[in-house]
Amino acid sequence: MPNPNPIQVNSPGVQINYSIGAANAAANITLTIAIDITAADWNYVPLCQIFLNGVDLYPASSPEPADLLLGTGASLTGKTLYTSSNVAKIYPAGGAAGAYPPVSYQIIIKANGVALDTFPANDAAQVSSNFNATLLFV
Amino acid sequence: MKKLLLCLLLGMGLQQYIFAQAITAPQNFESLKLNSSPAFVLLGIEPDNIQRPSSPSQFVAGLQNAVVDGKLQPNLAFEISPYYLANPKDPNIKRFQPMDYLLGKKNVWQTMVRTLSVSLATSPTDQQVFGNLKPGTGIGWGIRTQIIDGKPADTLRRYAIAHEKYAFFFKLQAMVNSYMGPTPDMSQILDQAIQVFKDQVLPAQNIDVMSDAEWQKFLDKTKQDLLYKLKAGNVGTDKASLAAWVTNLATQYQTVRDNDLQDLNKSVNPLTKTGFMLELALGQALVFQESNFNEDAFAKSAFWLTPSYRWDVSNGQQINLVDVMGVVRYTINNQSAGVDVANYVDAGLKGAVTKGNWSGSLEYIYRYASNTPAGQMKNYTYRLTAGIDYKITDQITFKFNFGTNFDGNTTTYSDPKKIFALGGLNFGLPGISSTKAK
Repeated sequence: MPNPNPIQVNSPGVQINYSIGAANAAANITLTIAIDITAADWNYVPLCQIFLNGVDLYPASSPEPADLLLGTGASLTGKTLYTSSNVAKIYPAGGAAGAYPPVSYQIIIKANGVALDTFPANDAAQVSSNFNATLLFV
Repeated sequence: MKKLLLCLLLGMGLQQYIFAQAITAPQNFESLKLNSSPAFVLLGIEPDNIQRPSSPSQFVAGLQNAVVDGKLQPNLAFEISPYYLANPKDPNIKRFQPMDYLLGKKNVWQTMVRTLSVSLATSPTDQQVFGNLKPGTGIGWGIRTQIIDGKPADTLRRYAIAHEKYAFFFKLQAMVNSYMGPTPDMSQILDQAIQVFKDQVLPAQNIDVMSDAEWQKFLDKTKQDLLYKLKAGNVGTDKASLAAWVTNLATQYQTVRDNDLQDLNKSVNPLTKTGFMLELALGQALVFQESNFNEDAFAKSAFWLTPSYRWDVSNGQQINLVDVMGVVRYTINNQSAGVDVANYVDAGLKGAVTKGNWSGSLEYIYRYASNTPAGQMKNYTYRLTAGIDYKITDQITFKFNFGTNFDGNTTTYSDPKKIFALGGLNFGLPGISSTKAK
């Protein structure tokens, strides 16, 4: 059974159970957050919080993490992963008019560099959005 | 000639290397200001003698025309920024990179290192500028660096501060929400959040515009206020109550940040620097007489200071800028080679107004020569020019300059001054830029 998409946009994260699978017990599990804004001349500003069982794995908060090591599959079982990202939209060219373009946001979980799951989300036409996810590794 | 070709090939190779890096350059406000490069000034072919310092570019190359020996001649130059070549920026062009040029605390030395640009230019030479040296090919090189680099626009600064304050509360919110236990120790969590914020969050953002003391004051007051409210019993001590409370605080700071960001996005000129700037430049010119590499002669060297002040009076629809600039320059001529019998001291002033893509300017520079040749009456000359620029694109600018230039060298200072009128397109090849601001 596939793991459900845990991302909540602009609302608190709802904890979901995430199965890494026995085959990946010894694999290094990593987390990548991928953000994009396709509208021309627009940029984004990320802030990302990643906590595993209350331990801050990404204290710097920015830029968005790529292949952040969470631990081996077996070591993660029973632990809670809390992620929260704020993505703001900025128009450095100046004179922005009209609606804000959406950003695309993805949480990618990999085992030894191979993607296990890619969870996508998009936000609405507003200046910034929060993407929240809470996973309990089972 | 072979050596000259070798030099050109090396230059082209360097250019290819630079483009091969595909690295983002600093976000650039004035992306086509190559004609301000010291190398052009040393060769005496600059359309504008005084120019406001522009933001450093990783690489910019350009082609422009100038009158040399009574003829319109093409001149080529390029300019690189060693700091931005050595410290490549994030290749993600969609992630906002305000760059430490625009924001960030720097001392004078750091400012000079980060704004240092090296330029190289070539042009045909004549005997009006280079005296007894036979006409040929001139190579000029120069460096420029900013000692004082102005200040960011108020809207950008306000956004940066609001963003950083929100980043603190966003971290605090995450710490409480992810806390593994029923009753978080808020005093301990606050201490941890403050430490992480100072040690990791602020350096990673690199858009810090407040001093350490200002941040410490903000953080101390925030901690004091939050602990006071907790002690006053306004907030429950269980995790759910604390999480709701801290989330509410973070949302308030997010709202302030978002409002400031909307103001920034609407402003027509978000990345310009205003206020006082001071640039130091120096350079040298070498002449290959009759374009023969074996007949090279060191011609002149110069150093100068360019103070400037900018007011941003943009309305909501169009960029409006007012600039006042000056220059103080000392030029040492190779007197033994017959370039001139004197050295020069220049002092000048320039005013410029920019409205949208149009820019108009008027500059006056007085040149005093340290010596007067036999038979000459005057030991001074001046340059008075008016110019109009129209920026067609970030890479192409139409320029028209009209006025009178310096009278070559001291042997012609007593001659009647000549008027020149020069118009044409300047082509620039700016470095790959993540954002081209107006």
